[in-house]
Amino acid sequence: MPNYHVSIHGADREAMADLVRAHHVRVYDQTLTDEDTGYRVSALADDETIKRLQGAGYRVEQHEDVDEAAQDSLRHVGQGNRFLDQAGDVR
Amino acid sequence: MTYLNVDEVETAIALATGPANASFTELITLPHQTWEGRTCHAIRVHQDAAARSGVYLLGGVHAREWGSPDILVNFVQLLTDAYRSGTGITQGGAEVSAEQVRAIVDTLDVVVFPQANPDGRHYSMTVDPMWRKNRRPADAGDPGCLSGGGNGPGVDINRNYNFLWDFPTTFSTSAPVATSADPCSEIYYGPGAVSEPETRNVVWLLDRYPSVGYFIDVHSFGEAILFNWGDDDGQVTDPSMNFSNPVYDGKRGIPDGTPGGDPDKYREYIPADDRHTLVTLGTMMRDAIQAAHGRPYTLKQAVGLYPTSGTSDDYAYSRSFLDSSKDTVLGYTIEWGPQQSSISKSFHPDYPDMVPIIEEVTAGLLAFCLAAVRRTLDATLADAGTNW
Repeated sequence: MPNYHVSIHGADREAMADLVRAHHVRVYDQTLTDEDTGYRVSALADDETIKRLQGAGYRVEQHEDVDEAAQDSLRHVGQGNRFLDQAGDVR
Repeated sequence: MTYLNVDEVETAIALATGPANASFTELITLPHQTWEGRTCHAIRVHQDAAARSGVYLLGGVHAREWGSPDILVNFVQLLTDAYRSGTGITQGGAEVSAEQVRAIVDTLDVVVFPQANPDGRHYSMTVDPMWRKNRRPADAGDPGCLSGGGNGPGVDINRNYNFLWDFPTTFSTSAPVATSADPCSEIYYGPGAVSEPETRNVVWLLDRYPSVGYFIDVHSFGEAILFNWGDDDGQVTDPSMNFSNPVYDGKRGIPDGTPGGDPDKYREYIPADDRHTLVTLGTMMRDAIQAAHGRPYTLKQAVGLYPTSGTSDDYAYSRSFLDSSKDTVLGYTIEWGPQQSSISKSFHPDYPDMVPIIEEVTAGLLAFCLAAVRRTLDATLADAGTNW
């Protein structure tokens, strides 16, 4: 089941607290933002969770499939051991 | 350039303690092997056997936050190279002079544990880039977990410390605590406090180096510097209203900003002097970060709408409240890097975007060490005055 990066919009702080208390959503608390019309926070959610939150009155923006997007990051991981030549001097 | 893999972090730390640096470094082998059988190492940088004060820098706790070990390796390499060669350090627009480098290494125990969760890092860098926890296998009777997106068994090390660990008992049932008892959750607190070898290694270093008076856990993301406490608002007037007092069990974790306020008015005690010092030193760190590449980080108390339990910075600070023989360890968490449009890129930016972050956080850590040097020397002078 795909996992999506989502932005969840709620009417007030109580609604945002309920994301954790009642809906057990994994929110990224550092992204909690006060907007003109309420609050927004980033989170991870699958299709089922998104539907459940929408049914509970939240507005949910669905962004990237995090697994797909994250695979691109693997090309930024070093291969082998770039320090081994220097390590020979230590051992 | 690319992120350091697990083997490279270990080799880099071993190299920093090589013959050329042997007179002022110590390679520390941590006693607890990880679930996958890895042995971790830390480094202590100091000119003599033991210092009067110390700074403990921790990284690599959350597997997907790839840049944290790279930051701490950069910090160690620059500090040891500069001390050996008698030079200063420049990171973007932030500079530390050769004299200041010497003051840091001559005055402080600088203890750096850059890769606390190598199993998780390896898994994140080879299988599931969003993996956060350690690699503790599922226990008998645990539910089957989904996979991908960071889902699966394992323990969030930064919810496993012995600070209000038993959150169902110690927090209000109304508190939106960012901790979970679900073994599949990426913020699972573990089967017991300090149950994980990775957690025990972090604690072991605190026990081993009692000179440490400052603790900084390096995480991502959010461009923020957080300080004690993370469980609730702070207060400076009532020492009895504190984390160890069972009278307040069931009343914690509702900050004043919660709608309707906090019905129990619980606030975590923090001595005014400690709070002042946390803000003063944190400000110096924040200013140095901004001097490097112009990016403003926010300095604030850790607690927000979603309070935390079992975290490293609050555990480190809590120790002296429970055991008066221990010195105070002020605790910080750095959340490096900005939020990006992609959540995975927020945790592991493309490496060219990571380079200035490495430099700015290194600058902040060096400035913090310098501030700790000044406090230590001021205290030394004050003590000398007392003896006259």
